[in-house]
Amino acid sequence: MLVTATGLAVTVMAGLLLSQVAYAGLKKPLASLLRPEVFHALFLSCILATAAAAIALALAIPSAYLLARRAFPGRILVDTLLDLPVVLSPLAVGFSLLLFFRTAPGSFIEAHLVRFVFEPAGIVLAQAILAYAVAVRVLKTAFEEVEPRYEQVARLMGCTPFMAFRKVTLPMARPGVVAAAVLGWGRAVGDFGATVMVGGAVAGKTETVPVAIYLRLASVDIAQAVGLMLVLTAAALAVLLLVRLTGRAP
Amino acid sequence: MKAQSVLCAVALCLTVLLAWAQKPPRLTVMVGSASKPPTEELVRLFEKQTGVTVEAHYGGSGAMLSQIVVTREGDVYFPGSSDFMDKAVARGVVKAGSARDIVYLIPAITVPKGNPKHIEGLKDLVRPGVRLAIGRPDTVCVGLYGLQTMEKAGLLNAAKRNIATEAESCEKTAATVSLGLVDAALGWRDFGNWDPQHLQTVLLAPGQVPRIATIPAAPTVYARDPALAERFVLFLQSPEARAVFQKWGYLCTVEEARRFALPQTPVGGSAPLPAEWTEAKP
Amino acid sequence: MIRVEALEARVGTFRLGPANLSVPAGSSFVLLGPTGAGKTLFLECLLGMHRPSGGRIVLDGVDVTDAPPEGRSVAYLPQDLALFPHLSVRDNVLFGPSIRRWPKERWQGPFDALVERLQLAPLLGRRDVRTLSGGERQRVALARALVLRPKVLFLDEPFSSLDALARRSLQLSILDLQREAGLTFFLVTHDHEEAFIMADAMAVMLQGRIEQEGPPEAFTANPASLTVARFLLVQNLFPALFVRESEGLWFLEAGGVVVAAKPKPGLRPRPSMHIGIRPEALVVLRRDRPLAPWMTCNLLAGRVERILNLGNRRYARVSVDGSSISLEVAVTQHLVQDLSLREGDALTLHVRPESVWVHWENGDPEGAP
Repeated sequence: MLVTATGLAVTVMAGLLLSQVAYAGLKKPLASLLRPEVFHALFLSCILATAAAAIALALAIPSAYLLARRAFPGRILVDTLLDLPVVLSPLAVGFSLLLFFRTAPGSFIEAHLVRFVFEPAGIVLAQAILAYAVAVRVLKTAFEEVEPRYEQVARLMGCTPFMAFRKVTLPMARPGVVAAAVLGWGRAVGDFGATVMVGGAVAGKTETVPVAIYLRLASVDIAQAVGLMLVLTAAALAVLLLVRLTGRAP
Repeated sequence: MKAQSVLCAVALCLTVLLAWAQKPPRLTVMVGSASKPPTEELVRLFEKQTGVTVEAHYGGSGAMLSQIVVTREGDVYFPGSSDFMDKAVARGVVKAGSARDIVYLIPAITVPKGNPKHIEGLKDLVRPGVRLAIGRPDTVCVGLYGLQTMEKAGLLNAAKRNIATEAESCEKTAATVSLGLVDAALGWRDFGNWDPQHLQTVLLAPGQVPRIATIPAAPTVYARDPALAERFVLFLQSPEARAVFQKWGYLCTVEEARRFALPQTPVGGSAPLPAEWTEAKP
Repeated sequence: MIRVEALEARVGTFRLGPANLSVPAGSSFVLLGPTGAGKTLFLECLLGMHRPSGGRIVLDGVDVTDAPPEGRSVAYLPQDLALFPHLSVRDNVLFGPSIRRWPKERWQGPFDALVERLQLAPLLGRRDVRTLSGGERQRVALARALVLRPKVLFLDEPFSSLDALARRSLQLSILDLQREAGLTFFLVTHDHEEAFIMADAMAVMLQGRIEQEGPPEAFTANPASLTVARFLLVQNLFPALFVRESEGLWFLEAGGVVVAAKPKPGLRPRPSMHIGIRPEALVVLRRDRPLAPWMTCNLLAGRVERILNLGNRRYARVSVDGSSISLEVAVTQHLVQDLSLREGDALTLHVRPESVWVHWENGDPEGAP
């Protein structure tokens, strides 16, 4: 049963990859990649996703810890609310952001503080929201699995609650933190709906690789689209593997 | 173990149910979103007239063409502009010469209802502080027409500064205006009819129209019933269909279209991206 | 060193206290009680891990009732030891000093001393604490706690997971360490034997209340109440009726046999009471030896029902002639061999009146006649 289920999943994933190659071969797609726009899109995708994942993680770690350790009134409500971006389609998340920036506080921010709509900053914001929802879920479970006893012992040795968290809980939850980072980054880099909603699709500025893939399909440049898909797959695999390997406990 | 068996059983049942519930449609029509409002009505009319089930897909003309190319399915292609029909012919999806022009589109300026920024013409679009949206010129036909409009007026370079975004589809271009994200967009005259509550059209001077766009339709080479596909295309040119199009504000004859342009304005065809655009952007 | 005044705490429906306790500095104090008695809750209050609902805790003269755990200068050895799995053995031991940023001079001395004392040298190179044996982990955890030179070391059932050999050797080793360093220990356990071995002073906690506090001898001599007696003694506890008083001794009849007991001064008898005799307090009289002069009463003749062999100890279950009771008497192997004790043998037991426990059913010991 175990082998069958996993085998099925692996086959499907591999199948997706191979289908890309099977359709257009390898030569044309790879040749189409040697263009500055492609590098630009790839670079943009990686930078923005990393920024989004970093922000998401920075916020998700304390939230997840709070949810895991303290029982406060309305905890279930907060817990469920934080799940929202996972359930709503990314398109809806992006669209909601656009609607927010139309409101009074939103317009104020746009006019006087930072421009988000149709800007890379907006993409980072949208992707961070998506990544956060995923990360907080994974981290909450990871922290729940670290017994409070360890923190108590650390505190009796002189740790403040924050030090106990940093020196004991966090290192012990390391596999979970790595998983959260990986999943969050993956969610961000692969996003299309929210990214294109908030960022638009301006070449060189807000055209990430998933958006570029869509646009290539929209102009029936199928070989290029396949090329971009392969590039995204390769880049993502490389990053995910790297994080996994370095995240392994020594 | 038990839970897993239950899960598998449920998955299997759902798949069988879904497969069984599907009735293959007699006709699949791929429609560019530019023509969505009238086409929905026309499809229902056609079904009533002929008793044939029609499945209409709406989306970006280019994305749908890619789908047709890869899946080799789809009976009728009804894209948002002749540029895409030319691509379809080039890809061998549509036989050369089999396309018929159904409606005509005039490029115009789309502004929010009430025209808060008082845009009266192309010159106002290059005013400092005006946020402008266009469709992505390389993938969305209305974007290309927008650029050509600005190029013809000699305002393309100046306009570049004001372009806040390039929308990835026709309807997204209109949406940026109705959502208040930009002050104006270079769109089709018909955008104002799509969402009269939030949008209004500012017409160009007849001499400013670079080309009259056409929305063509054609049966594809993958049509399962070529005669039926051809019948649908002809239906789109019928008087009843024209009545529906006109109700929605579309122009059905060249003569009607020329009212907004000059007698010598070219109709349809394709043109490359303006050189000024592909040069360095600010 | 530790003074607890009227401490009260609550968890769900369980109520602890009000509890009063006093632990002198430099002593090894044991809190003994069955599981569920509230010992862990009490401990958690002392450690600052649970907020008491009333009362005061004073550590080394400082009121720490509301102080957070890190402000109490105490060390804790939990039952599961909680060695940090992500740190090496050495980093575990030096965790405290590194948190407090002690300079090397400050921790080097205690560290070396503990490594030697607890034989940790071969373990220091180990990266993963999970590969250590139970006894090794205990020693590492101890070192981790003691390297900070805490005022008090709190231990929660420290030896419960060890095998008998490791347990005894560690118990003695820790006691030596405690005495040498003059540390104050506060140990919580449910194991009677462990309590008596480790305690300079003891308290018994039952159902959230401290029933008795004092040196271990006080518990063996005479527990404060029937409840404590029942906790400490499994055998040889019988209901008894008051017969008469003479020459300062009370004569009580239990199951047909009359036993003389010497009650604490100032107590008055009640019609129905309980007596208890520890197995160790019973003496098997040898037929070939004369009676000692003080053996004037409590000469109980009986027959050996069974000899219970508990591996490291032996008890003889003796049914007392003319009565319905059986007494368990602790016998040494030596005795068994000398007297060739067998089932069915007749023998005579003696217990000193002072060693007989006398208790009332419930309420205070000062009963109305």
